[in-house]
Amino acid sequence: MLEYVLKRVLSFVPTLIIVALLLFVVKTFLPGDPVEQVMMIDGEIEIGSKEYEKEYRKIQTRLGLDKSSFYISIIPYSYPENLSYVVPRLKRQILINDYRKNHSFELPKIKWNGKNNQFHKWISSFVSGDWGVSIKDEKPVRVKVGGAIKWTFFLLLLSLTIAILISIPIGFWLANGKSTFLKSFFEKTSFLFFAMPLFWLCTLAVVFFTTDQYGSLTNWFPSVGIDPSYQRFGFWEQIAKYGNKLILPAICWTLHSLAYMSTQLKVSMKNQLSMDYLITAYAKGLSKSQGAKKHAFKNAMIPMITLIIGSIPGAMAGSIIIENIFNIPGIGRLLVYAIYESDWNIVMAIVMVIALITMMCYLIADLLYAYVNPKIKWTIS
Amino acid sequence: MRILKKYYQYKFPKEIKWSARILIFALVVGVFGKFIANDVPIIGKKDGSIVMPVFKDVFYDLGIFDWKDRYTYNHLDNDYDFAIRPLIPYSSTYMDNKNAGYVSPFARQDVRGWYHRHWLGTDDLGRDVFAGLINGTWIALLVSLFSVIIALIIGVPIGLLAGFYGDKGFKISWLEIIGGSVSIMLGLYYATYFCDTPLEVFLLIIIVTLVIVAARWINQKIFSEKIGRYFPVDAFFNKIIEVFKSIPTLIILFIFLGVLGNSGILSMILVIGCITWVRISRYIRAETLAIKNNDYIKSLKAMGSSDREILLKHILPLVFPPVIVSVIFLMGSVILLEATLSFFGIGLSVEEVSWGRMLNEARKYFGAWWLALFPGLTLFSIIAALGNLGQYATKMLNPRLRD
Amino acid sequence: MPICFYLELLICHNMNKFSKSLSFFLIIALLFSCKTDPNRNHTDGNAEINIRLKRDPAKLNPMTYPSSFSREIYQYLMVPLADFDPESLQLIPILIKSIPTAVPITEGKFKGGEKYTLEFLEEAKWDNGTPITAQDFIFTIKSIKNEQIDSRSWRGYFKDLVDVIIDPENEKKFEVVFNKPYMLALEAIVTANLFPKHIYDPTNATDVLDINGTVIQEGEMLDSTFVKNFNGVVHSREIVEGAGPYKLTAWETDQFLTIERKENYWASNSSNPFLQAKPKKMNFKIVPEELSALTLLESGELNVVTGISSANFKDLKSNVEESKKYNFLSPQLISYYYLLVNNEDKILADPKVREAIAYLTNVDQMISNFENGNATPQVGHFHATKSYYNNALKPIGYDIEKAKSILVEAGWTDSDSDGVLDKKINGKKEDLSLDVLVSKAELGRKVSLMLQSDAKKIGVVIKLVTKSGSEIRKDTKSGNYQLNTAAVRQDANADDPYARWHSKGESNYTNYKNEEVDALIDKLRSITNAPGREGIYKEIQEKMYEDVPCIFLYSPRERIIVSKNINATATPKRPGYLANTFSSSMVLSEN
Repeated sequence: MLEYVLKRVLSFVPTLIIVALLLFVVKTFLPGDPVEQVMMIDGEIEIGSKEYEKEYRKIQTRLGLDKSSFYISIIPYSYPENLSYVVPRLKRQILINDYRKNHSFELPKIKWNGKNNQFHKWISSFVSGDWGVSIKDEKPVRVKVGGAIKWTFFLLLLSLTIAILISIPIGFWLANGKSTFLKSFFEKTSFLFFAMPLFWLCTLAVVFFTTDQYGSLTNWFPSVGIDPSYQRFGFWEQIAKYGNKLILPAICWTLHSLAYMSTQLKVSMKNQLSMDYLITAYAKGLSKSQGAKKHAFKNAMIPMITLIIGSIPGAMAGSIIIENIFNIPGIGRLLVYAIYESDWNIVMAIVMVIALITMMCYLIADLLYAYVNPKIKWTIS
Repeated sequence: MRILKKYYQYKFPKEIKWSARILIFALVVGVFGKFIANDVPIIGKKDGSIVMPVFKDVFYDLGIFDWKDRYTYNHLDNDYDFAIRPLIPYSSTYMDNKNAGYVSPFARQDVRGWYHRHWLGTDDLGRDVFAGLINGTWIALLVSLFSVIIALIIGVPIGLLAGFYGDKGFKISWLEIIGGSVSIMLGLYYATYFCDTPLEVFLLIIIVTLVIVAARWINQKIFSEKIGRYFPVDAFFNKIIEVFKSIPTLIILFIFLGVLGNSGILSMILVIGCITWVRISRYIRAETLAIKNNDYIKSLKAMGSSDREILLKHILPLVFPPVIVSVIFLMGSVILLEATLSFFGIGLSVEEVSWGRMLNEARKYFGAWWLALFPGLTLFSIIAALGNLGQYATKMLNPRLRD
Repeated sequence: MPICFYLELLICHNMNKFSKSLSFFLIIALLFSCKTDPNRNHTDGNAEINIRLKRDPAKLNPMTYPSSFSREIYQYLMVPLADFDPESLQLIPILIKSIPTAVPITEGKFKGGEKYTLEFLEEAKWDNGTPITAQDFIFTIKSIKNEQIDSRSWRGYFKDLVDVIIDPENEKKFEVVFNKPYMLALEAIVTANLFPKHIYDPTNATDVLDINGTVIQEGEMLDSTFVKNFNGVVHSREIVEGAGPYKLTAWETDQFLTIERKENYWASNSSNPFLQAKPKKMNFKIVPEELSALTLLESGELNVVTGISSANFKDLKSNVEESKKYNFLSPQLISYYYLLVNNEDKILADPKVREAIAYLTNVDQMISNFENGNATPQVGHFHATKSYYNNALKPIGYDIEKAKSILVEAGWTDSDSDGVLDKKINGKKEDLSLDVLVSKAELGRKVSLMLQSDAKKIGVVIKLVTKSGSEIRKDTKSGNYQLNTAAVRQDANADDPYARWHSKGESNYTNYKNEEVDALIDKLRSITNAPGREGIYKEIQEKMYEDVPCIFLYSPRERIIVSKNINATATPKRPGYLANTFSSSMVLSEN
């Protein structure tokens, strides 16, 4: 088994590298110039003056953007070399236009850049723990992401707990017995919640259940928004103090995924209940309810485990919406703000973290599945 | 004909009939939206001659026709001797200044009569909500249809190939590998440095694909025996799947569209299409794998049918029903994705009115319940209808669940 | 039903511990969900006030970044020598003993100029106990005038300041010398926030500079670390200190800032509105969404909410129950919204085009839509509340036909029948298509949408281009734009139109150039007595009115909601309220 786990973990690496490559490619084609962004924050210099070029080069070197992008560069023969990392952006377009006027096609030349390139620097620093600094306030990305991830983590924990606690008994109930009006009504209602866009559901929940605007009878939940000054407190104090704000978001997410989870359980329960071994057991004298609970249920839980753990990545996507509407300072909200502000270091770090967590979830789900079901062989299919 | 007859004889459950009706209604409303809600009449007589402004409007939007007076005068005025006007006398972008500022559908509205009333209220700038819903239907239709088409175009061939050839089925020679990669690299190189417009890039992609396919075909004809290694199509495909699976779709879309800014519908369609093909592909691959080991297919192979024949003539039709199911679900999630992205203000250009945009407006001022209720309701009903259909279709395919 | 299920599962062997702990957790969770929103306002002396900010202020440095969001905070941290009283709008001294008057210089090097004598209060001192002296003032002036420091917005006011002479016997007394009379000399000197030299320049790097901000000796350079720290993160976010009654204790980007009352403050119990410190602590919470801000207000976690949209403001006010819990303030600030126009753009260089666009903006409709009628159309740069406002000039109204005829006069026709006006400029046919830069801010977007819809009617195409705030700032400064939505907030002093409207002005982002106006501005600046300026002001307004350098929209009223238990007054002085004067009137019990 250890061999299997190791093999799987090793296969993370190429995937992560490809993800990193993709992000890096997007970063290269971003409109907007990170050097100029930092220049704006550091102070404003007359554009076009000689000071400007000096300052530009200085900041470029500081940010590490004066190196070539990747290990290999393939550029046309007479293309102005070192274009993207020596020349300020304003001049670049002029040089490019000049080049294009004179050449319509040219064979490439391949240049080997060795380790001195941006991608290598970024990857090596990322792996060793230095995730760079956020452009807005020069705080290390690690600190920001670390602070945000605990909120998302607790939100997910709470959501999953409530989801499991509610959908398991319901799925069980749906699978047993005949189809009654209540059951079909419930199925339709849960489907209703599923078809409702998550952000609509959340906004409605915010207005109806946290404020007095539509009547104080339904004002059950505390107001939205983690009080932004939460960081005064220590880790566990924060959770204790503001944990109650996570409940309504968790309930919203649960309602949204209720349909899927309970249906899956119902399906697998039904599969189990119609299996031959149960019929034999009933013939031998086992009572129906006992049979259902002891055997069918346990067997039906197996795919449920995969399902629950597999819903974590989906929950992270949902957390983008939930955190933005409920104003919770988790990863989702941080990611959206970073995209609005073009703060690419944070975006890359968060996406890599999410990719890593997702792959680990799938691995754990597979392991659990195999653990519970001894028939699975330890091979990578 | 026989199929249609069977359709009418078959007893669909009531809810499926309703779902289908809703979808057809949405389709009609979306396509003929400009005829239903517009501030110019459909047919009118002006200054003695008969004009058909709505048709002109449609062509104007498509870029075919040039109509210089489109916005020149206030079309609600009675410039026409007689006119047949559309159902709703406002277009989605028309700002009714007299009723601006969140006018409720039940409030007293400063309009000329019952015909001109804003039946579902207005938003902050005076744009009619009903007209906005109709425009939103059109946008949802466009986005879901075209991105699904793109996803199918990319996903079906890849899924079929991955499922059919597996790891050991596809033989490729060194020459082909080298030639293929060199032409792709050359193509990328040309696109980066020498292409100006997206159209050129698109043409380039097509040319490169054709060259590769043609080269392989020629290679097959000339060298009757294929020397070379096995190309692990399936492993390659699985790797791609893993990469796409490791980041939730919403996040990828957020990043790509956030970078592009408010660039309009076309870029949204392209990006969504190029990212969601993975779902369809996985499904097709699973189905192909299941079918591939049928005795039927094995016997065809033994009889000497070429791979292409087997794939196109036999496997593809069998794979189609599950594909339809996954297409239905995909359309539902694409509409939802588009609404979510518009809700965050990403993707569509600033002037476009879509359901997600209206819901975002509703958040600013929650006294305007009509801005939150109606777009949400339409969004929900379309997604529910699609989901219903999809569920029904899965049930039909999986006998164990029928009860 | 689920409870029975759980009980049965509890009996079932395997699930014992698991479900027990889960149920336990659920019960705890349910307990937590009861509403527990303690009201944090305590008795008067220890009050904590929670104020809403729409955006992270980015930088807290009055010299390099005097934006309105930053000002809302740094006004309590770094006070100037004197400022405009919030009620009377007259200059009152803060750190100095009295407001000086100009004394003409009749002899010596600076003959013809004016000088002002100022003296700091005896008791005024910094946090570390050192007294506030003229050295700090000199340091502030040197930094403003030095070219490397990013103090463009201030520099123009100090062009004619040539010397500061410290009284040899009293370090707190000094004379400021201007080599020619300048209308805002006094206001400039006293309203510049005072920077403590020992904190912002611990290495005495500015000692190499003379009072004009240039190096005294050849070959010496201003220490680049000092410049970098001053302009950059160190003195914009990390170390922000001054002579004000509060100090910055915490700042989490995009979350909150906290400022706390200084202990052993030299001016505690002062009656000066700028030195008071009634609340012990002020938490500025950054809540960009209005809905969240209002919910927090309702639950008591926010006490002061600014920048509310008029629809919500009106709603809350007319809701009888809700309105009892809050005070509603709408001070008339000296501010206005306008569309920045790049006068150097090839299409917009023609004043007729600008005039036509002005006729296309339906200002009255905007006021009724976005401000609920509570705003006045703005004509020109000077605010209607100023004494020298030219009443004879009427706002450019809304007239689409007139706009069309003006454009036709200017040579714009639809020669290719594509629905868009065009004209041959420099031999090339140009369509009348303009890009407006909009950020995520609501109001700018809505105004642009209205303009777009009206412009379509005569064949003018307006495109909305979304960019992030910093990109827009950069594009504006480099002149790389056509139209831009912007706002201006001014103070109670007389306006010096040099920076914005003189062709050599530092903040002339519209690239407006009119030699007659230039001459008038130059003349204006040298008149130090207020009544003498009236005539010139009116003439400047007339000339600028004809040129239509920008599209002026309207001047809104600020909307602030304050919890009932806080005694709050509004003031026309920006930002509309002075939170350090707020006191709690009641103590509410915990819910």
